[in-house]
Amino acid sequence: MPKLSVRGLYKSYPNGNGGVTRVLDDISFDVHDAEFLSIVGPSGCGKTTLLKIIAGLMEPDSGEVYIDGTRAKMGHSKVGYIFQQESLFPWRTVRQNIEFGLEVKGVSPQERRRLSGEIISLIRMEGLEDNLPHEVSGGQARKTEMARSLITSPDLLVSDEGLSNLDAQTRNYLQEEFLRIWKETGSTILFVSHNVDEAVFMSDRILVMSNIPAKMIGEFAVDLPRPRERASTGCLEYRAKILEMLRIEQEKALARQGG
Amino acid sequence: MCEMTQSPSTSPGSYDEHSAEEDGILHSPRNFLFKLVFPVLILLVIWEVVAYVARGFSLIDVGQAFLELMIEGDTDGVTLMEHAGRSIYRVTLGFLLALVTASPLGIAIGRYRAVNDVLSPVVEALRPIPPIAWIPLSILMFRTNLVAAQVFIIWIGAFFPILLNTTTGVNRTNPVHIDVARSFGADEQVILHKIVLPSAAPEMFAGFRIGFGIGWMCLVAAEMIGGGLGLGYLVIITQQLGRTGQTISAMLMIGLIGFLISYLFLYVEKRALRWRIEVSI
Repeated sequence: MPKLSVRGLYKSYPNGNGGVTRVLDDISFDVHDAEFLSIVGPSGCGKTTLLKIIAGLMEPDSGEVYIDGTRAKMGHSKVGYIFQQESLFPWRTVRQNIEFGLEVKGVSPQERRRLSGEIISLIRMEGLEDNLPHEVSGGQARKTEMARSLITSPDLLVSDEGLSNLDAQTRNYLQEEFLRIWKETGSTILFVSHNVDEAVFMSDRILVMSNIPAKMIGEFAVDLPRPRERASTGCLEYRAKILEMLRIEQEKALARQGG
Repeated sequence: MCEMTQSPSTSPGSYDEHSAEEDGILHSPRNFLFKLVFPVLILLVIWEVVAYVARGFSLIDVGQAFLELMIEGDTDGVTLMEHAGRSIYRVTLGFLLALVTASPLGIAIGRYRAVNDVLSPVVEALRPIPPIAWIPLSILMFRTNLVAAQVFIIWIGAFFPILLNTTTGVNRTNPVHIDVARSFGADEQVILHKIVLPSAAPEMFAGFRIGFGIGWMCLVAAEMIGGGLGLGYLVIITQQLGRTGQTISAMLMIGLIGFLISYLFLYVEKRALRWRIEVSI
């Protein structure tokens, strides 16, 4: 049974002219247990909308989301979400941020402390627990967000452009950290990115999304051994194929707008 | 007195961007000059102008009256500190009342659109009425209960700054923080408690400080109603008796206490809101 099943999602938003803009157009896909799946697509193609529906933060117009075979409705808390923008609570220390989800779920303070201690050493941020978010680096903030999402052992971790807006060096480092943590925790990850290199470097499988109304237009199983080399021939071949697909899609989109 | 308008001011220390100087208020020569010498000089200049315009008044007269009030008290033998204590009591009462009424209302207006739609016009219609204008109604409403009538005036004065600042603070809650909480299955109560309140805390604190300040300013107006005790009462009664030295002593006491309380608020604000790095005395 797939970890996550998305079946026939449709979503439209009202636009300024009294009409509606269709954002998601019959989106269906599966994510398998312990898989690292990436979705790449042009900016503004509805990836965030898709993730919010999966995480139960938004209602689709129609379609269903199943996690472990069970229908996941609005307000469920089975998905750990790493948001696109910085989302640490500035009034909480690193440790208090990480423990937030446990507090919401009513876990006892001793147990919270134990679990956060474990995860702080997993993300290698010992000694920074009592810092406030403005006292840690951007990369450390990202890792803290990751830990905050992971600590409740969600069935699925989704990341919405989680590693964008970082300098190249930090991004490379965090990609490797992300992979390490994925391996060590055995999590299932749904990773959204507009960065094809990143997706190829990290994923078991990559889905390509079109411009809005967004459809799934391609699927690549990345059959390369790990650890991968960013500039290896294998990576570059996948990269070229995916970029070509996105380029053709872009031309079609422009033609649609022109016509 | 307290006809001044109340603006939803938020960050009072925003002129002082470089908060690196932290607690050491008087440590550097620059701070000593800017934070102590210049303010005192300006106060002395104001004093000189007032003394010149009012004619025939010296610091010695006031000093004498001040000491007399401190030690012997007024014509009824009530000392300055007793008057001050009474005033602080009334203002604290009015302020606490404003705090427990305006904060929840401000949160509701800031968070729920329907509440905002219904209550914002009401607030905007009532807000421009100066607290002093409520005095006659206050007397009618509370008749024999003088303290209640006075506390009511102070409550009016403190209410709106707290309300407006709370609303502003709640409006500024970062939507992604709410999404984070919801992704963990948080319900509305948890969101209010763990997200909305802490993120609005800086504006709310500023509202408390400004609210207390305006409540304190409304003191004279409130104590004009009567009561026989309090700094505002002392200002009115000594003026009627022609004891200008005592009037000024009471004014100085009002200023001094207001200043100290404002600093106390800022101090607490700074301690409690370490995460908000802009907050600075």
